[in-house]
This record gives sequence, structure tokens and C-alpha cells, in this order.
Amino acid sequence: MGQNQDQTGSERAAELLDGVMSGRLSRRSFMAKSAALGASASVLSGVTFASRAAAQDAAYDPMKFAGTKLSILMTGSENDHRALADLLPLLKEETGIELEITAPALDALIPKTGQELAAPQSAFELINYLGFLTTGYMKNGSFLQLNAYKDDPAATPPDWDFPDFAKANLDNVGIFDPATSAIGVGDQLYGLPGLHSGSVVYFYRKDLFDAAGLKPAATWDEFMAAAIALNTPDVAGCSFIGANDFSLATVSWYTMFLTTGGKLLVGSAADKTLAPNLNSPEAVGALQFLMDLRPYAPANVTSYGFAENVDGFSSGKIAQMVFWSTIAGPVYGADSLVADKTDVTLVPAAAGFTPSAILGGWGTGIPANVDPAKKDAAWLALTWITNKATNNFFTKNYQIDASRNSTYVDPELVAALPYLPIAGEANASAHTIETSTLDDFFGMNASMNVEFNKALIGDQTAEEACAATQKLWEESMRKAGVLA
Amino acid sequence: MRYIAGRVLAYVTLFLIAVVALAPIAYLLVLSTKKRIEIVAQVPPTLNIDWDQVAKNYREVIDTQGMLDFVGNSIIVVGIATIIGLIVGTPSAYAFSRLRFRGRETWSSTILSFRFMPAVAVAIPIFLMIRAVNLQDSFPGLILPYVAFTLPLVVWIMIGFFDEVPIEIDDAARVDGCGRVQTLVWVLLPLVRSGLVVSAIFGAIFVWNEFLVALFVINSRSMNTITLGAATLVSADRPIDWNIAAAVGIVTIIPIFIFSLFVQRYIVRGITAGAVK
Amino acid sequence: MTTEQDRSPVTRRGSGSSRRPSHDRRDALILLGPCILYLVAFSIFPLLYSLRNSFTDLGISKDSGKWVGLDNYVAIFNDPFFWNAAGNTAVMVGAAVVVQVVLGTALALFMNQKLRGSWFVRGALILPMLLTPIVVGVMWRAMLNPDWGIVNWIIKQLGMPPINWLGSTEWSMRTLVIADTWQWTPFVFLIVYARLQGLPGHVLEAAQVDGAGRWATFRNITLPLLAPAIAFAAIFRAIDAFRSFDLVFGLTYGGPARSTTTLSFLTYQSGFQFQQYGYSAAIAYVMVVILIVASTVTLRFVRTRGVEGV
Repeated sequence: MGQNQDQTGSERAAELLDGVMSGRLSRRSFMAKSAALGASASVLSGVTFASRAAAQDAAYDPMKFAGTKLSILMTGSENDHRALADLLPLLKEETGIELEITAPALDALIPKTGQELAAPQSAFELINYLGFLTTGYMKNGSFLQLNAYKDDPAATPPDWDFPDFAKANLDNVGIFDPATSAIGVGDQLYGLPGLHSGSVVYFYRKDLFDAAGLKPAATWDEFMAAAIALNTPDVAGCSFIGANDFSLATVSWYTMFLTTGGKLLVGSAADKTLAPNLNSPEAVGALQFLMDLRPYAPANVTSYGFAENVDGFSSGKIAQMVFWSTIAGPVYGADSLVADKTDVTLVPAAAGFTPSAILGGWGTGIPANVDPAKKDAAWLALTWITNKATNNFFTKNYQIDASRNSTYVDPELVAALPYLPIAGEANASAHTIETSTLDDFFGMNASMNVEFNKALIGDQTAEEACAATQKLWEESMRKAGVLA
Repeated sequence: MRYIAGRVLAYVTLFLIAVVALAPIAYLLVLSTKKRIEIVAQVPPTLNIDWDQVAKNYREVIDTQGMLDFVGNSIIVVGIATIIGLIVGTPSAYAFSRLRFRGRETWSSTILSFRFMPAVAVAIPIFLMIRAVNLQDSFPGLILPYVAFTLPLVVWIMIGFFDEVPIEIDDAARVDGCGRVQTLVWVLLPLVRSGLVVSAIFGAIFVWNEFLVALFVINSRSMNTITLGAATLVSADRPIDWNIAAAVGIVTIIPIFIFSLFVQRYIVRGITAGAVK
Repeated sequence: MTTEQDRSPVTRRGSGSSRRPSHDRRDALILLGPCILYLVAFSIFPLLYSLRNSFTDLGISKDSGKWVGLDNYVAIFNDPFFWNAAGNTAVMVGAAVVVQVVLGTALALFMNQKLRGSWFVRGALILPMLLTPIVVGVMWRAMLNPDWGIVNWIIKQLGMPPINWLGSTEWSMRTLVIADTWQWTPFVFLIVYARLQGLPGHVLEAAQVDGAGRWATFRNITLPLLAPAIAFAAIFRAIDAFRSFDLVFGLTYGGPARSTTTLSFLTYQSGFQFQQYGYSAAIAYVMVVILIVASTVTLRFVRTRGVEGV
């Protein structure tokens, strides 16, 4: 009785106030109707005061924090910081906020972030974090919960359009359930997707495929067949990450593993049965597939990391490869020799499975230990750097993978960058890698890359590599307490 | 005849030494004049230089990224740290060389062994200390730890130089009425002047390339040292833009090369002067 | 008139002063005070902090940092990756002491001749050791790039098969040693050369007048006189090679297949990449202990040799 009526009461009171202030209701009607509500004078005056104050703030004011200086800690290993730096004058113009960018390389960013989050007060009001580390950070309560801000019309720009964020990315970096330490569950918001997301797509040389009468591979068998058919001394039939590199496990291997039905982890952490599943046929098979592809890949593919593959493809020496969509920039760029000969489609998948790959990307949030005086300004800046215009700029000028659905389908962008819709589809169907919920994600990934690279260079078989990694992962997971 | 052959061989060897030392840098120079795609496609790199591209590469490094500022920052930080290191370390070296006191051996070994700690282990605690006195993101915040890094070297080298000065000189000064400190400052310092230069140079070399402490202490880009600036521009794990990375390298090498030409004359002269009595 | 008595930095003459010891004590405090204080602040605290961490399970989690006693150290000795790193580090130190010292000394002896323009070559020689590590890493990775690097192109021109410098476990450590030698031999050269320049010419001349051959002069006179400088350079190089990190980080990143992971890199990787700060601190301490033991032994050895050698 009491609570509900109060709520409805104040809602109705607000309605009436709105009416009287907009002139619809005469003052007398207003007084009569308010009295009918049973609201006491003090409650009414309280509501009046609050509503008037709310009415004043109800208009979102971008210049509210003009003159504030904020700092963002973000990755310097991509193009994000350059794109953001380009936009800083515009940010200043539209909000009066001065944003200072600190962008160390990835290896340096992670420990620095750790220090800032552990400090009594963070020196940065905005911090960019890898999607893979979301669980770790949110579990520690390192970032502020943002729901209050998001739902406050006075704090968010009217055209910000929260639902426009790609759901996959939002789930991956922003939504976190503290009760179960699960990402993508519930509706508690701790970060926003940005400054880039992205998944993996299939790049191929349309001209070479057409000349050989082939269509881009839809299954992995077709991929192998195309690699064999298109392999010449000048152009390798395919390529992949073969070096001891982060993306060997997460892109080259994981994509095939996923699309042949592989399950990386089995069991559950709750009953201490969470275990790796690397001795499965899918796991060994995916690694063996890479080893079988080796003769049709560039001679030095076991040294090929990110840079070498991009360079190889852009200079026309590779016929097809499955890779992060983010390389579309250089591949289609002015510097590339194959810009007009390349096409993009979804990754191959075994019969009966849908194309899907790992979900990458970053999130940006406000650290929990932020300077309280700058908190609100930080939110405003955060909405600005994740708004539609900014996302659009990033993709248009730097071909950075977008975090918003609207960017992926914007007609002007699609016309200029024809691969966008595919990248968007891949992004939407991408899969968060299961091991990212574990603290030792990077360690486990590193072990896998070392063992897999060892197999690729011929020092061990695929089975041995998987068994070795399985053992290392089990050890790590035991230490983490998720496996008995 | 044999003499001439010997001389020719000597000069050829001299030339080869210079080539081995400089060839990698020359290669970097050539790479810095190319477009990225040319580096991958042109093997070996041709020597026709597109000056527009050169200008573009270097403008990117110097203007857009501000590499020259970083060089300046490094010079300031390292220079001041070295000077303070000399001021603090030289008296200690003098004490170790001249005085007898309990624990002398232990203390000198302890000081010297401070050089042994891997940077990884001390970077974070040092950063925490700097932050505790609110000096993060400032030059003093970086200079203070760097002085500590140069001290062991300064002390060790200066002990050697002080040892070379005969004790009779100290005694003569005492006869003239000088106290310890006066002896040090007015009499001995001029004699070990070259030692000061040598330890300054070696101390500076040691902190010039320091990365980890700088990474944690410095936040603002404007205060980046060379190592920080280069690390942002040239990610250790994925240098995609080889031509820009090469340009960064050249920009940092030029001041160092000038320094080394000057330094090697001085060091040699310095160590020589110290040794011959 | 003092005889030419070579003193290595570690042999110390007694103070010979006739001041009273208590004066010495007080003066020592004044002169040493600032230095000791400084080092206590910047070295002891970090060392103790790391020591404490090495006894915990400090990681990225907020609830990590619990005391685990010697668990980390036990884990280290059972960790095959630790022993792999120890082996790699031993190779680096061995190469430094053997190859770089010999090469550096040879260079110093060679450059001791009066050759025109050698001042320029000396300047060029020092350059490698002054370069920023990241630049050195980029430089070598560019030169040794298996596809377009200049080195493999030259090798192909000479008709030999291209070498996979950085991508094979066979060559990775050798490549690291080559790059390290290129960068740090100049250090040895500088020290020995300077000492060489300071040697009394008249002693060498006297020996030659006496009829001693070049080799005999070198072996019996020059070398012993140079010994302290060579020892100094060798010790410093050994210590720095033991701690070498920058080159591994920039050139090979510990790979492939951990074949170039050194102890320093392992410490970095467990700490900064895998966020196992406790374990990382423990490895760092094992390194410190090894260094202290090794340096105490060598310093003592050098000290006694130094006194005899003259």
C-alpha cells in the first residue's frame, strides 16, 4: 500500500507539475488534482523542488564540465590512439574537456593499468582494457558500475543510442554479473565497447580465385583444396600465424577448432571440474590442419606473426588467409598492391557448423578509484568517445573495427569500405574465448603458442603439442582452484 | 715491402671494423627512406631515394610523434641524474679509498652489488615510492631513481682513480693545513678530473636506455624519454611500419653518434691521464 | 717516485694515513652518508619489497598476496622452464666472457697502432653500445627478416641456403649471441684500449731492445699489465650478460619455443605478462643470490691475482 502509492503518487505529481509548467493545466486544476492525490504539502513541495531542479538538468548539457582536464590510459599498439588524438580538438570544441592520451604498448599497458587500479587514486579517469581481461578487472571491482549514469537522461547525450552498441561487444567487455563473476549475464554495466572491437574474417584474392574458377572456401576441405590449387612459387596458396605469437592459438587454431565443433573447456568452476579439452579430436585436428597447410604457406610461415602476414598479403604474395578483420585497413589501403583484387567473406566452417571466430576488442571504463571530483566529467567524455560520430570517424579514417551496429551498415562507409558488412556479421557472431575468464589467460595462451609453434616447426607432433598444453593448462587451472 | 703489405692489411682491417660496426645502422638509414610496401617488396632495397617520402617519414617521426622532444627529455633527465650521482658518489669513493673504518669492505661490496638487481624486480617498488611522495609524472620523479642507478658505477670507477693518486699528496696537503674535505675538493678532484668524466659517461650510458621505471613514473607524452617514446612508436612485438621504425631509430642515433665521437676521445684521454703518473 | 703499480679497482691500498681511526670514522660518515642514505632508500626498500612479494602468491586478483612461504622457490626448482632459462642465461654469460672479451681485447690491441682516421673508427665502434635497445631490436629484426632482410639476400647471392635466424630453435640463441656481441664488444674494447694507451711505452720499448720477440713481449709484459682491465671488463660483461633483458625483449621475445628465454626475461614475463608477481619476484631473487655469490667469488679471485700479478 504505502510504497507503491508513493511511487505512483510522485509519478502522478510529476505529471501534474509537467502539466502546470507547460501550461496545459490551470493553477486551480493543479491544486485540486494534487489535493486529490492525498499528497501532503511537504511532499508536494519536495516533489516540486526536485522536479524543477530535474527540469533544469533534464536538458543534457555537453559543456557542463568545460575546462576539466582528463586523462585516458589506452593501448598504443593499434591505431586507436592516433584516431582519438585526431579528434581531441573536436572534443574540446564540443564539451570543453581537455583529454590527455597516454598510450603505452600492450606489454607495458597491462602492468601500468594494474598499478593505477591498485593505487589509492588513479591518475587516469578513463582506462582502456583488453576484452580478454574483463573478468579479471570486474571481479576485483576495479571499475565503476555505470548504470546510474546510463539511465540518467541528464548525463547521457540524447542521440547516444545505447542499444546501438553491438551486443556481442557489449556482452564481452561491458556487462558483468558480480554474483556469478560472469560476463554477458544480467544488465549491470561496467564498461563500454571501444575503442575497437572486431573478429576474424576470411581474406582472399578474388582475381586468383576467379582465374582458377574457384569460389572462396565455405568449408575447411575447400580451403585446403584452394590452397593446393593456388600455390605457386610467387604466391603462397594460403597463410596463417605460424610464429610463437598471441594470434596463433586465438585466430589460426581457434577458428577451425570452433567451427568443427570444438569445446575448449568442459565442466564447471563451481564444482571444481573445469578442465581443458585439448586432447579432443577437434583440438588435435585443428593443429594438424595447420601443419598440413604448411607446404602451401610461405616458406617462413613459422616466423610469421601479425606484421609479416599483413605485409605478405598486401604485397600480393598470399592467396587467402583467415585473419583479424582489423587488417582490412592496410590490405585495402593506399599502400597495398592488392587493394582492388581482394575480397572478404565469413570464415569457413565444417558442414553443419556456423562460421564463427574469436571475439576481440577492447572496453573502456572509469576506474573505481577515480578522483570523485572528475567522475561525472569522465562519464561525459566516455559517452563522447563512444558516440556514433566518433565510431564512424574511427572506421572511416583508420579502418578500425567498429563497436556500433550503425557504423557497420552506414551507407557512406560501406561504399568506401566494402568489407564492412562482413566484418559486422563476423563481429556479431563472434565467440568469447572461454579461457579469458581465468586469471592466467595470457600465461595459458602463451604456453599453447609455444607448444603449437614447436609442432609447426616440426619438433613435435600435433598430439604431443596438445597433450603438453593440456598438462600445462591443467596445472594452471588447479592453481586457480577451478579444477580439483 | 712487408711493411707496406702490413700497413695495407691494417687499413683494410680498420675499414672492415668500421663497416661491421656501422653497416646495420646504414641499412636502417636506407629503410627509413622508403615506403612501407617498398621495404617488403624491394629486395634488396634500391638506392634511388624519393626525397618526398623521406620528408614524409621524418616529419611523421619528428613533428607528429615529437621524437626530438623525447631526445631532449632524455638528455635533461640523464644529465641531471649523472651530475647528482657524481656529487653524491665521489666523496664516498674517496672515503673508501683513503679511510680505514670498520665494515669498509662490506659496505663497498654492498654498494657495488646494488647494480645486480634485475630492473623488473625493482621497477614497481621504486614507482610506489615515487608515487608516495607525489612525484609521479615529473622529471624529479625519474631523476631520483636514476641517481641511485648511477651511484654504484660512479663509486666503483672513482675508487680506482683515487687509488691511483699517491697517498703522499694527501699528506702534503695535510701538512699545508688542509682538512679532509678541503683535500678532496681542492687537491684531489683536479687530479681525478678525467675519472669524473669516465664515470659520468658510463653512468649515463647505464640510465640512458632505462625503460621500466620510466614506464611507470611517466604518464604524459610530453615527458616521455627516448625509450618510452620509441616503445610507443615501435611496439616490440609488432613493428608494422618498418620505415617509420627505422626513421625513429635514425633520429635517436644521430645525437648518440655525435656524442660517441666526442666521448671516445675523452674517455681514452681520461683513462690514460689517470693511469700515467 | 712510485713504481708503475697497476691497481685494479678492487685492490686497495691501506690508508697509510697516520690519522686516528676515530677521525677516520667520523669523516667516513660525512663523506659516505649521503651515498649510503640514497642507496638505502632506493635499493633496500625495493629489495625488501620484492623479497616479501616472493613469499606470497601475489597476482592480478584482489585476494591474492597471501603468504605462501617458500612455495614459489620450491616451484622454481621444479620448473623445467626455469632450468631452460638458466641454461640460456649461462650461454649468454659464457659467450660474453669468452667471445666478447677476447674479441674486445684483440680489437684494442689492433687499434693501438697509429692509423690515420682511427679516431673515427673508435667513435663508430662505441656506437653500438649506446643505442636504444628497441632500436637495436628493430634493426636486427629488419636485417634478419627471412623474407626481405638484407642478410639472407646476401647469403642467397653467395649461393647458400637462407638461414632462419629468428624462427628456428637452432639459430635463435646464436643470433642473440651475435647481436649481443655486436653491441657489447665495444665496451670491452674501450676499457682495454684505454688501459693500453696508458701503459708506459718505455717498458715495452725496453723489452724489445732486450731482444724479446713480439709474442713474448705481449705474453709476459703487456698481458699481465692489461690483466686488471680485462678482468674488470670481463666481470662487468658477465654481470650484464647475466641480467640481459633488452635484447631478448626486442629481438626474440624469448622464443621460439622458449629457446632464448633468459632468467631476466622469465622474470619479466611471469610478472608483467602473466601477472604472477610473487613468482616473478622469487625468480628475481634467485638471480640476485647467484649474482652475489658469483661476484664475491670473482672479486676475491681477482683481488688476490691482482696483488700477485705485479
